[in-house]
Amino acid sequence: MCLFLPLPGGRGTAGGRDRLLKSQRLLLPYVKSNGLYYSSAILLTCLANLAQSYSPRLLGKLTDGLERGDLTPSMLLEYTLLLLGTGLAFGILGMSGQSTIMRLGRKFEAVMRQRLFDHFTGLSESFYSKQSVGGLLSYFMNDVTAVREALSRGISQSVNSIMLIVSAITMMLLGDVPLLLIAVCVLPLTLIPVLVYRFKPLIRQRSLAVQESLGRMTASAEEQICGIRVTKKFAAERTMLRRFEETVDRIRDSQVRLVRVSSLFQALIPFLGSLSLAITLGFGGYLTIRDRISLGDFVALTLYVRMMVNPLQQIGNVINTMQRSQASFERLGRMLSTGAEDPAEPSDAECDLRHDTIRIRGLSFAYPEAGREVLHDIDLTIKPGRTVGILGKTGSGKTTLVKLLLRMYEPPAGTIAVGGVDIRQIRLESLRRQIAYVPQDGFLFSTTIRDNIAFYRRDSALGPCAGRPNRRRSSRAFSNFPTSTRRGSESGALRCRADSVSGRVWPGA
Amino acid sequence: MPRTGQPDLQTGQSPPPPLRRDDAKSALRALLAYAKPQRRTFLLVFLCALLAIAADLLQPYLVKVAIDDHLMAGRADFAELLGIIGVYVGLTLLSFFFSYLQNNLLQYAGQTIVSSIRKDLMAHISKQSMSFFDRMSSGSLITNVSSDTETLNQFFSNVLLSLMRDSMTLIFILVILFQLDPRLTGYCFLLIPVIVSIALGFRSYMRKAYQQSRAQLSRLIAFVAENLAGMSIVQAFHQEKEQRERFTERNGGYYRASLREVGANMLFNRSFDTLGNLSVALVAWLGGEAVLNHSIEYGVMYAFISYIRQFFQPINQITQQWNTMQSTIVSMNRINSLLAIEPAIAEPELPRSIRLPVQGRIDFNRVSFAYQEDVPVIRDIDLHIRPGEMIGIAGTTGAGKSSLIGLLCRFYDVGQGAVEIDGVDVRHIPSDKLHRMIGLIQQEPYLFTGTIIDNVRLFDESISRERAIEACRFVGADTIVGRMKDGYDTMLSERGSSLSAGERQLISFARILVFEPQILVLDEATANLDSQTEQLIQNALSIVSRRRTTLVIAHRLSTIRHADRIIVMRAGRIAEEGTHAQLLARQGYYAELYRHSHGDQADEA
Repeated sequence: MCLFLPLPGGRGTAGGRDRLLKSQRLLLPYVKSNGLYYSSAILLTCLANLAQSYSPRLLGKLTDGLERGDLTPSMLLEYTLLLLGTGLAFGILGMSGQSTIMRLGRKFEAVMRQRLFDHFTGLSESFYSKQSVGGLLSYFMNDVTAVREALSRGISQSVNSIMLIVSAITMMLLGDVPLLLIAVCVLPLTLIPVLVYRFKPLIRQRSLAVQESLGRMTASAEEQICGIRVTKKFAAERTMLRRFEETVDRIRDSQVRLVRVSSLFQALIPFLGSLSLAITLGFGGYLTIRDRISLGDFVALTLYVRMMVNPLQQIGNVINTMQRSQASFERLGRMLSTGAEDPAEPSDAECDLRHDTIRIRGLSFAYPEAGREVLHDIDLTIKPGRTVGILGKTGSGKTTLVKLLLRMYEPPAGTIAVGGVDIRQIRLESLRRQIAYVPQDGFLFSTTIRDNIAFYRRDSALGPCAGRPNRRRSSRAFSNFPTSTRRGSESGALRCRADSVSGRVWPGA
Repeated sequence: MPRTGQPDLQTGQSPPPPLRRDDAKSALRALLAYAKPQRRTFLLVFLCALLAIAADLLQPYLVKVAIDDHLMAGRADFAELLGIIGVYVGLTLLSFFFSYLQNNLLQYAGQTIVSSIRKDLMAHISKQSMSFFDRMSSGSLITNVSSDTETLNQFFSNVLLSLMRDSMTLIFILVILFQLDPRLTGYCFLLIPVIVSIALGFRSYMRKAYQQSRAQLSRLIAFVAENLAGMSIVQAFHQEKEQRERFTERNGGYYRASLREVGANMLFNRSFDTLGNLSVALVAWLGGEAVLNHSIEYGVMYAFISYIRQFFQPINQITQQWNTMQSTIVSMNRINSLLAIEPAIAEPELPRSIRLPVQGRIDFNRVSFAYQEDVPVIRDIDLHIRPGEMIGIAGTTGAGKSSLIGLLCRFYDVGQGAVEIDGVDVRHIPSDKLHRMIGLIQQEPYLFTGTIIDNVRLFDESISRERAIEACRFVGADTIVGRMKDGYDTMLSERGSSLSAGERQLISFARILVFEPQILVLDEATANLDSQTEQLIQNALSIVSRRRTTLVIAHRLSTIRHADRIIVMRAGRIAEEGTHAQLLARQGYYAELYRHSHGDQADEA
């Protein structure tokens, strides 16, 4: 089973081993807990390939019978039925094995995505401030998919091809074909895995270049379209189009470069297969003429040589899939182990902001990895029910102060206390439920306005939501919209209003 | 409490409606039109494919000759066998060479076509008027330009190749089989209804499974993307558990859909494989009998077995192209319908000559305008602005201030009345001329990926570097630029996110200076800035607005209090008009706004 773990890649460092261990932890428990399924799927695949490799031998025997002329019609029927049987067995057994492995892979994918999402909901704002959404999404899309491919295609193809090759060679040896002949005929084919191994990284590299040029074109298109007002205002359409067209031409160049290698590779594989057949024809034919092997063995040999082209190609593919997924394994392992910062103290105290005073004493704060302090030595007492205005220039720390009150960032110990209890010991839910925070950039989810307003209590009836905006004189603005509104189609002012209303539908307010 | 509605039913994308035959036809017609200039290359590709396939498919035939004429006949002539092998190797080389050539040529042709579609599409989008960009989301336009065209690329490199190569392979095999033994071929034809019914039966099921799983996946991605972006909100409202449950529901939806898709694909592939094996058994039986009766030679049966195995692969390949084929049609139709949209603002047929540089007199002659019928935004506005005058425009959100500017720049056409510059209706001025005479600065300045210099001169090489630098110095941007690593050659990325809002705005002021418009319009240009940066911008403004007709829209009334005249708008009409002092003295709407605005400022700070 160790084939399906990330390849160690010859790294002897402690860090490398550590990462390897982490990615093993992603995979091994899953494979183990589904061990029964996996082993039966592998067994099915093995049986299927045994059946498949039997058919050239049957055809060889049939040929020998025909050549000798001692084949009776009943024997012919028997061979036919055997061929039919092996064909059906290969189809049915192979499919059940493969589909089990594929299903297990998809399940792993779903489990993995769920784990990632759960993990993401627990990460703090200091984490998100350093990440782009696109970068995080690629964990969900690219990495999970790569790992799934390694798990399903990797297992299924490697079992399939190894088994087919082994049983084909065994069958040939059983059929009195000399080992030397087999070795010589298969020789060009053994180049196939090497070829795959050599070419695929180059192909990958060039296809990455294609992807990159596509990305650049998309970015340029985005820039053109989003900046169209500026472009139009300065009547600079022609200059801007030229900039875009350059990126388009670059795609073509990189694509042609890619095809030059990939089509060479694609043509080389059948070429090697044909070369093998030519040798079989020559060497095998020579031995047949000399009566060293029977015509049936010769026929079976040509069929086996053809049969082995695909599995050999797959072995090369598996190696590459594994290598590619290794990076994803590591990325996922690292991501899942970047912890939601474990609070030093247990946070299980409750607070009641209706009666508790918020006390800030000597609070200084710098964002992680920023160095410069944003807040210096702040003392502030907020009595329950009081309205406090916070003034200051952009960047003077107003928002930071509020974020610390919400524990979006962890304040230093002993600096903020609610009702005499350090804020770090108060349960997040208890704290955040009682603070209504209206951020500057009103972020709306793609759902109904009602749901955006009653974000906190989605089961609340429409009444309170419609009532609140009324007071804010925004109900008229909302009533113009269709019942569902996607984020971004309404103006910033409206977005803010929906947010401020949502701050109002608050149990404590 | 009962749930008042399923919140996210609307956002789950439903699979696209089934395609009609007309759609496919019009899409293919459009594709063909683009492919026409490349027809020579396509002809060459076709020839290469023909040669490659012929060379490839003759190989089993050679083995048959070897078996029948040499091995079976018992003639121990190894030299002749070597000759056959020589031909075999020669054919192999030919097949290798031509299939390589064919792939490269085809890719070149496809890429050239897709490139020209991309360029046409972008040029077409650039021609559209502003109302188009209000209506269309930029996201969907970007999808049109980048991923729809990429689907077309898939069409050329996969679908077309497969259609050409695989259908030719099929025809070749059939011809050879007939050549070998018509009777046995006749029996094999019995298989064709089976193949067709399998292919047809699976096709619609596979297509549906594919579309469902795509739809579920995009629903999943959209959900994740949104939650990642809004995670601080989720956490601030302590909704992690709820969002996790919602994720589980979507994740499960995709899981089930993807299982169906994988299952359908596998069943289809496997049944073709099995069919191949079964037909080998069929040939062995029928052929074996024929050999026993001496009606065919053994070699023929061998060749039959080889060919019948190869017969199923191309059919399988072609069927696999259905999904791509379908998305090609969808994409091409989307591109087509975009290309069919005519710009709402037509260029004047008979442009009136206007003396440049213009004086800067602006007249709104009893102008009315509505974005949607029955919802007037501008109602009968009559406004006359002298050359060089500075006008402030005040009013609440939705009063029609920005719409007024949109009419001046002819982003939209008036419903009634006329907008004139120096007495010429803007509808009679070519749009590039019109746009160059009006400099518009908006709330969110837009910077492009490129150097500061290029952003100031908008990549127009005909504007000298010196002029751009001078413009920066004029508006006071030189001190900021001086602090940057590479000075004026500093690359700005991600829309200048490394600069502050004020710095970005200063650069857009410099841009205005370089292009020297005679009319200057500021639409909330300072709304996002703190008061210190605003001061810097105000200084820049006083320099830029010298000797120019200037219109300033501002929420913060302090920005426009020094204007020559202030227009106060309310519900699409001019409510009041006068200088700051006059308007305050009237104790009317403006005075009320002014008091509010001061309250607002206290809130904002």
